[in-house]
Amino acid sequence: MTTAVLEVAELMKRFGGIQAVNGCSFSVHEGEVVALIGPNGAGKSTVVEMIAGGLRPDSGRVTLGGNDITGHGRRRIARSGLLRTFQHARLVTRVTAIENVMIAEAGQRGETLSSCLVPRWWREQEQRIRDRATGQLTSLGLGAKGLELAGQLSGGEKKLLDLIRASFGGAKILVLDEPVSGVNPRLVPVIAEIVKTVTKDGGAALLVEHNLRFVEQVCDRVLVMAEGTVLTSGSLETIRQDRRVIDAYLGRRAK
Amino acid sequence: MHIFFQSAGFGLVTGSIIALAAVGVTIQAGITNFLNFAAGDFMTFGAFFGYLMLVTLHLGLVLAFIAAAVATALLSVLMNVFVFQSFVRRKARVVTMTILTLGISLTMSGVLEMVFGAVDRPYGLDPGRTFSVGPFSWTSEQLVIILVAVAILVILEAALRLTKVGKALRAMSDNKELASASGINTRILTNITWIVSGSLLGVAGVVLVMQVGTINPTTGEAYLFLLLAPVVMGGFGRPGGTVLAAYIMGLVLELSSTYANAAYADAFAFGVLIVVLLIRPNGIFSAPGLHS
Amino acid sequence: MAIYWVTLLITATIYITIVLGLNIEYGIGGILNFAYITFVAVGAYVTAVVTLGKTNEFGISQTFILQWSLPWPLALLLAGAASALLSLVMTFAIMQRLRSDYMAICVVALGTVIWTIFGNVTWLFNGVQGLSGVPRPYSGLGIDTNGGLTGDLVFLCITSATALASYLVARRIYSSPFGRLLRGIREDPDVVATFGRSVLRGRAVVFVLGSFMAGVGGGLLVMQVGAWNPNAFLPPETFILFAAVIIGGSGRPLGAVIGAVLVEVGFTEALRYLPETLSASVVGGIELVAVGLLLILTMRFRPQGLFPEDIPAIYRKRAAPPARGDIPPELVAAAAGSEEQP
Repeated sequence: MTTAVLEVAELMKRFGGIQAVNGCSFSVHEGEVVALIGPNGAGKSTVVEMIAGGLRPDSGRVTLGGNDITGHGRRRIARSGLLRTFQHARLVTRVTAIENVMIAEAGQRGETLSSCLVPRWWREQEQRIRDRATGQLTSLGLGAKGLELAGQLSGGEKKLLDLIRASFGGAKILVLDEPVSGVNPRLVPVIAEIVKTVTKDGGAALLVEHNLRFVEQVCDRVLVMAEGTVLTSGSLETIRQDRRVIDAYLGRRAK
Repeated sequence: MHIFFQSAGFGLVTGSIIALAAVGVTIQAGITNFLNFAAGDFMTFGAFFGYLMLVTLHLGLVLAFIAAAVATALLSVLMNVFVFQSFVRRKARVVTMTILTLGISLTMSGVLEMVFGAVDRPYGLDPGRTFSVGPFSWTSEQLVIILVAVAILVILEAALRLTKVGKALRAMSDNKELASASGINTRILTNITWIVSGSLLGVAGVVLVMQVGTINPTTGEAYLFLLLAPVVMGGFGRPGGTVLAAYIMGLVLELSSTYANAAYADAFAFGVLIVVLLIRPNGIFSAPGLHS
Repeated sequence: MAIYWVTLLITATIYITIVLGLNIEYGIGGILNFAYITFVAVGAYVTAVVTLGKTNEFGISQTFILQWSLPWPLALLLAGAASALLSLVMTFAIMQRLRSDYMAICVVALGTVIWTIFGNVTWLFNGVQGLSGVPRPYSGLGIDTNGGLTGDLVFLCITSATALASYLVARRIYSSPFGRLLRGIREDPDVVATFGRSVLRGRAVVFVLGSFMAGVGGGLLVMQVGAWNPNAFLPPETFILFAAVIIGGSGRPLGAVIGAVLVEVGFTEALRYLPETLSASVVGGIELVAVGLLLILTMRFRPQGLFPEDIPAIYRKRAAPPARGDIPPELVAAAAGSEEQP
């Protein structure tokens, strides 16, 4: 049994009168790609936000690589090794595409006031990062767009860029929010490749997705959420035949 | 104790002035989602029209209020139609709109300086007799300020709650897309908002100069913080919270002026703003900021 | 005649420093410091207070200041440090979670408070009358520093050096990884936080640096003019500086330089050509109106300013490496022709 990169235990979150997340628990292991699926309103996005630092859980625990990150802010969680994408590809629009990617690299020497004034200290590292970023962009067909402002890319290009950026930073785990929604179907295998590459170095990935074909191509395991909690987990084959899952999608109460 | 009530009485006067101005701004900010940093100059503008009525034409205070309200309302709506609308159509960011108000502030203070000159002009009003109302004592001038403010605020609240336009404004302030989807004509309502905010700022300008005594082109600018802070504390589009914050600031200003040092009254008011924002980054009456 | 041009250049270089400071805060860092003038004024006051001696230049004894008579480099450093310290205090009090215009209010609030303090602490700052008789650098060394060409040239060297240093620092930041980080913070702070950076630290650094430059600029300004009073603190002064940054081109240091020269110096000089019959208020008013209208027009028709940000230029200087292919060529071609699904 490989070690768990991410462990989620009994997460709860209430909004006004609604219990959006009602005791959600699961774990993601090294090298695994896990999908989180479920009908609308199941609480998937809320769980993702709580894991990624956008929302504070009412109760429960989130552990990343053995460290408790429950309730931490986005910044601390990123530093602990969790990087994410957004459903609507949140890029910094008025900055070039390549800069969007380069921002993802941690530990850059030129980023403090004192060091930025002496180019000698950071020039080499900067060139390395730049080359790597350009390489990533080019191998995904965005090489020509590296110097364009990110806001001018098409929707599909933006999603690609978002993904490249998240996978650039050497994260322990990538959390991807609907990585192929709104994307040209021809790009889906490309994105699948990127996701699988992440796990080659022992990283892991957690995706929220509705596109089951994509899930089939990429994921080792599927978690089904309904009504704020995890119904069941397993391979897509098994899930598809699980009565409870079908009921959940059709809106009937799961037993 | 007598000093306390006298000071608190002044606080209510100052608070009334601030409340009048701030409530106009908050209604406008609730609809347009940016703060009008030219509000001080709008007040000065209205006050100058008041001056024209009072001093140049000797037509009395009532006409002064009316002239100020009408003139400033007209100015505001023209500003919206000729300047702001073209930016809103292009979905400009909040920062852009805020910077626009800077440009407007500069232009307005320039025009005022050109037309009226950089001199102090007194309203020349007689404060009148002093009245005792319970433990408070006010001059008749101060009573006018308070009564005008309260009357206007009450009428405004009633209009917001009871009239169709008022309800539409509140709906827009809460959720613009939803309001527009349910058939509300947002463009006309935005213009109405500017009319309302303009008239309030105009009247506030007049009462400000009544309190302060003289007017010059920079009179309103010094009060910019004082009239915008309650909007921030009370929340955009929340007249209740804003008015409350305005009166709190008025009281803090006068009480600290009496009991501490008159020079540092502003510092205390500033302190109130900071404390409120530290506890509630989104204003007194909204939920505490979402984590991260 | 030469003195006229030298004075003009002195004013220009001082304002270049001041506007560059604001450009760092707003153009690069995105901070809406609507009371920037306060930081300039703090620098001016500190400089005045520490350089005034027992008797000022006109031989009049002054009893209301510290009487330290510090040398000018120290005075300028103190000026910058005082403004920087003030901004540091503000950062800790305010900057954590506020949206941009809330922050603007708080800074304006601070500006009002400082204005009141300076206007009222008579024992130190001489209240509403302000301070006067502030000496130029090197006065007392035998050079005729006030009114003489040599003295002016010496001062010009100092102000030019400061302006140049400010420009070089701004350029360095702009094209460095730090500049990239700051631009990210300026546009979308949440995204930057999502990648593990401290938004607060970035903003604090630009705020403090910009304030330092404001303070030094203010010190130089008071040395040139010789006097200062609280009426120079009002919002329009900051608004004009913002106009300078934006019209010139916010973000790019060169834009700030051009904006400073155009707005602060150019307009004032252009006003000289107006007919003599116009009164002072009209002339003063025209300048405000002109700047205000120009700002509005710029926002409408050329919001990037005269010298727009050209970020790609920074990166174009270095050649990109050849493509590495992990992905099969067909997929690359597919990705190159990607479109959004309807």
